[in-house]
Amino acid sequence: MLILRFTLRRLLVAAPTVLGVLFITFMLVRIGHQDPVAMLAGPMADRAMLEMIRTQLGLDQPLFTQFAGYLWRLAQGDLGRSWQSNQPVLHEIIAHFPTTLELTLLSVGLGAIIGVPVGLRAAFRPNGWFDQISRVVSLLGFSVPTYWMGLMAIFIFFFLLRLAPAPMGRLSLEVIAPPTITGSLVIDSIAAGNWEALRSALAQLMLPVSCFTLIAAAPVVKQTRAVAIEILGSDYIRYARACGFSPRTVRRIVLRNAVAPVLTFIGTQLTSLLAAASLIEFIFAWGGLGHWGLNAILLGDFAAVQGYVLTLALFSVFVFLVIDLLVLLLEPRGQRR
Amino acid sequence: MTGQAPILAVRDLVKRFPAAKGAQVHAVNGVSFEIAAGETIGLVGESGSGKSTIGLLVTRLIAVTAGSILFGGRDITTLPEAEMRALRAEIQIVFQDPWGALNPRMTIGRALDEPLMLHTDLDAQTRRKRMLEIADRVRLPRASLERFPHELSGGQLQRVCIARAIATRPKLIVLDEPTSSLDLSVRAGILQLLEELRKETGAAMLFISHDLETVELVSDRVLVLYLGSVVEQGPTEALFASPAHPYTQTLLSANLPPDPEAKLARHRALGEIPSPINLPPGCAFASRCPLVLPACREGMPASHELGQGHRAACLRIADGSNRLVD
Repeated sequence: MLILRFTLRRLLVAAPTVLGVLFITFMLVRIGHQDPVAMLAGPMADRAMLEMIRTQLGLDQPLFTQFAGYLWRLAQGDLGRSWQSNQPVLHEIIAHFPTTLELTLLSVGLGAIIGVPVGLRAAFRPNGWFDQISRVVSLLGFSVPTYWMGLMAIFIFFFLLRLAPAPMGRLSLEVIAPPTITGSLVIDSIAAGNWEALRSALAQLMLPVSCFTLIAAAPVVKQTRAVAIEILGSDYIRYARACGFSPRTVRRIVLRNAVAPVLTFIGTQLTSLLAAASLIEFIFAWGGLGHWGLNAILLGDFAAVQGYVLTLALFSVFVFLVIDLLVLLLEPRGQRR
Repeated sequence: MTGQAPILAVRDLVKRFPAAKGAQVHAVNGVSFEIAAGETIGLVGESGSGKSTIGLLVTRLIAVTAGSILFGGRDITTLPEAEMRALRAEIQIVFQDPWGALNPRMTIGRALDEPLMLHTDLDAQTRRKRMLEIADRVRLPRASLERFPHELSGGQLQRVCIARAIATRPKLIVLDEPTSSLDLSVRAGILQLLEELRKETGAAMLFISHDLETVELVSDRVLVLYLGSVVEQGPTEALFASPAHPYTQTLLSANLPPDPEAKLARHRALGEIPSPINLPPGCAFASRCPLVLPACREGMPASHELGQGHRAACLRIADGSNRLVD
């Protein structure tokens, strides 16, 4: 009951946010430099032709009229049509989203599994050798540009060492893809019992996931370390030590009390990394939502850009809601509210 | 002082912390004192005087640089952690900030249960009984045992911390500014409770505070700390009635009486409290003392006995010129 009410309230609060995102995205793509009409019509088109296309697309209307029409169609589940592919945007999103989700969830999941213990270990001996090393490695994850890291990974592991397969998409060209069920090649291959496809999909995932995990783990390490150090400096830990609790028990208390803030942080990371996925996807020719969205932005494909941003916004709302519900269940503060 | 052997004897305690560029912070500089069983010692001083550091050293939350701390005759500075753990039931600590001293994710009952679980072999039922007794004793509503810290008031939380500290029947309780973060009205109740508990349990108390009135109220004897050194110590009454060290005189004169009509004899120390990094030799107060002599900067002045264990470390006491006058 409490959870239901909490969820409803959060969704109500999120509605204006999403509306704001819609408005800003809609206006931003239209006041940019790109003129999709010129791109669509091609270099041979004359003035009359351009005007005709413009009218056809409704781009001659005042911006607010266009926005009202967009909202009206959106309310009916119509996200518009991509000018690039001439496909409904909704279909494109449904086709591309699982691909990105697979990559992102794997990387953020691995980033958390690696990042949290590393951050804790570093916090228990600040400035020790482990802390120093983890700090340097996470600094790399923070500061090395994504595209450069991707290109270097390809150069070293594919070109020099030949350990990784060619960075050309999600599956080797010699392998027959399993029938699409979830959109995740790993899950679909297992479902179809297609082990060759599974092996190829995992091999293709190796490099992008490694790069992405490093990027995802770095802030998790830093945050976990900071949270744990704060808890370690608290008087209740000091009391536990004065009272004679073993270092193991003290570590357990720290871990338990760090869960909620670290979980919240990973949630915020998940949403921002979904956007960051576009660069990784671009470099590894991944063809996911990020790749598609980045292309749409470069080509001035208005409806596609709007659909892309809307998907990210809704996903964020969803992730934050799930995280808040988890924290609500974990925290004594929440249960009595 | 009572005639019994001291429960705690601190000898020449020194604690230095490393600071930037190889410098050292001299937090505690050769402090010695004793606490008899059932006695309350007040430790007063400004921020940075090292009083809280002494609390942490006595509970062995941090290691000493030099000196010894004898608890019940055993030097706890060299005791292996395993043996120390058994002693920890007998030395308990209460912190200044009760909101931070309790695990926010643990019920009050659990917080009281933990030291009992760790230090006694009692079964859950007996522990529960003891918990209820203690809760009643510190006048904590029994219902609050099921609550989480954020559901209680500051005064109640400090009662929880005190309850937790007496649960294992300690011989020494270190109270690090236990009332400083509480409202004045709540403060009196806590002080009264501490006084009652001392009479009942016979636990000695090391009461650390910068609040002179509180210290005067609860302590049998008072130690005045300045920059890590004890400049004066003695029975509370004697020390407050006739402070001998210029620093103590300054400190006491800064304390405003509640009577707005009272005429204030205010003595001011010169300048600011110096940095405790790389202290010069001599009296710690020399740089601010209005009565400073050249000899004060040369070596630590010896302690002068003023009767009844009232001692002050000031060169001027020898010829009686140690009084500050307006």
